[in-house]
Amino acid sequence: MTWDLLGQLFSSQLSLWWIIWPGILLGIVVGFLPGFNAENTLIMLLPLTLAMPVEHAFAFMTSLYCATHLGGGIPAILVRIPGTPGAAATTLDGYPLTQQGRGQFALVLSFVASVFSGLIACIATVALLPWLSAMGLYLRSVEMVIVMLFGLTLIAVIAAKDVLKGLIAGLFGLMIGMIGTDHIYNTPRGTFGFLELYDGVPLVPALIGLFAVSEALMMAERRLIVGAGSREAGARADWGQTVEALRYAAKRWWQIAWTGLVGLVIGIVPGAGASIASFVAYQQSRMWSKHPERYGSGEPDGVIAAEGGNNGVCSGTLVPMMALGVPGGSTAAVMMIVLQYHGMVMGPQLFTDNPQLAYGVFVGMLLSYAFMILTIVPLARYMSRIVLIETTYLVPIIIMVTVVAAYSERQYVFDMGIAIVFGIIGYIANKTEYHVAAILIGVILGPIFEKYLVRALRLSEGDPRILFSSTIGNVLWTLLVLSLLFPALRRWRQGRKASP
Amino acid sequence: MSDKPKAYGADAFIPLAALGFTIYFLVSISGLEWEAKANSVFIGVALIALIAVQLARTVVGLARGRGTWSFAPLLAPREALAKRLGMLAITIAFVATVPWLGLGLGLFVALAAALAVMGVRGRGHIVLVSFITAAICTFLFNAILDTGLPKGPVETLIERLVR
Repeated sequence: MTWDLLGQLFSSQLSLWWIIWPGILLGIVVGFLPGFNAENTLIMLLPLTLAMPVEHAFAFMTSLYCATHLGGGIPAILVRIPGTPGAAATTLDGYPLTQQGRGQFALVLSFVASVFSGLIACIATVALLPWLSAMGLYLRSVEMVIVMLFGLTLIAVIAAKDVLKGLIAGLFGLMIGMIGTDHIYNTPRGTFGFLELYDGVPLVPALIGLFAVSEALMMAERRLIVGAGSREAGARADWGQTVEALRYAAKRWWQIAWTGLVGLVIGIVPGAGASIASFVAYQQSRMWSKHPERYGSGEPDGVIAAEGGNNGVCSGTLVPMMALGVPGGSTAAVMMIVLQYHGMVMGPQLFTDNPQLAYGVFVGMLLSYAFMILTIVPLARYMSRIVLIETTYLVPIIIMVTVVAAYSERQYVFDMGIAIVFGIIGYIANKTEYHVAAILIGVILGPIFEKYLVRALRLSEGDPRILFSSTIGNVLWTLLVLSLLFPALRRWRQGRKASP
Repeated sequence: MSDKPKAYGADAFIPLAALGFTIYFLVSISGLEWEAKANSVFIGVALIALIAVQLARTVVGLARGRGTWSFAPLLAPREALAKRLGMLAITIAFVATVPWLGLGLGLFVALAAALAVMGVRGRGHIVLVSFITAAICTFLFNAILDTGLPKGPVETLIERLVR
């Protein structure tokens, strides 16, 4: 790509501001609402995007897609309800910061981390596109099984207070994720006789139950989300916390950059997605931190890592679609439908036949991020005041509205019931320190894990040794074991230093 | 480290639920082809092994007097128990009746009841908050997002008026 082309792309994408801005605003609202995501919104808006010129449609879709990732972090920080599964890791440190009366600080930090990690991932994508696109080809079913197990291992490490409880919660989630018909013979398993579970456990009601309903039931114990002192601080909130967060983020630019790149790499892997990326970035950040013990109790770097990983994914999921014609995720698949409708052929020739569109997508993303930060940061001060509302009002509204949102994914009243069941499971898990995020990640990974494991085992005619047969796979196994051992080793060393 | 005695009953709730579900799952797949059960056996056996370790820790803890077979943390604090159970009962009633009442009326009634259970006083306040929330949700989910939520008397009336 030449500098001339880059200049042209910037000016042409800038002229589409009138379509980028509505995309951002809609994306933030959609990301904020549990039950809605970029994929189902883009499907609903297909009649609109199909009617637009392809450049306009793509600018609108990418800005909406990026903004949903940012919007999902807002309820995760304020009320511990992730708007999207990718924001589940943001609750770990974002919500404790809110409870300390620093909600505005956490929000601004998450916005800056989201936007700049997205920007950095986008620039890296443009620069490294040919190499990045080849990466997905090296990951076959064997490697994917290990990537999934790697994600699960992180759960145990994240739930570091008790690794055993973390593993039980994660594997319990995986078992729940296996409910439904199998991939080969379509025979129902573990459905309790419900036809509605033949397609598996729907993710949106599971997310709503585990986080929103369970947290609302916990909130009923208190009059306010924040303590009395924090309430006064929150009520007095001025621009101070916004400025403090901007300064903090500027000091932690490296943290934002590398977590964004982690998101980018994971985003390229088909099927992995933002939920894994945010937890991987969070866990790696904690592992290399000088103060890992602060994570989970309001560590600002935890918010940066989770949001960095979550937003770095945005560029990554587009890479296999643009470069290979293979959508990296369901949202990319919807975008591909629009492109194909307009006669665009995906794959390497897109970059030679239509560089204006191919690179324009990423330049459009860069501008979306710039617009996004200008729009959202000034609003953080007002958003953070939600925690000043008494729980006598918040609890009924959260439970009822999110249970209604559980209906939206598949349009079954049954799914509202599923949200209640998961709410009860989540409440018990919260009270007994079985990480709800671990259960959720298990539910998300369950079907994907099974698909890759069965595929690998069929290749080897049932021989499990195939899981140790590839070089990349064995490197991943080693990293997995190190991820489990490293925190334990560090605790042991700290214990030795502390003892006289 | 806290000296508070552990409540092993509450602690065993999730492992026992997971164990029950895993056994049910493994029994339900016993007659299937190996491809349909390989993954469940792989995960299920690992999960049962971990649960066994956790339950063994519980037995050892009970034997050494580190705690009791109590469920108290799940019910604590007692003052909030009625609110929690009330919220659950209202939510279940809402889900059961929404196909007939529709989103607008169902949500309004459920929210009003839930606000009263949570301790909001003042009928005007309860009616106003419930009405505004139900109206926003009906507009958002039905009119804008077209999620196909059940329609009741309110939605039917609005449709007739709009026509």
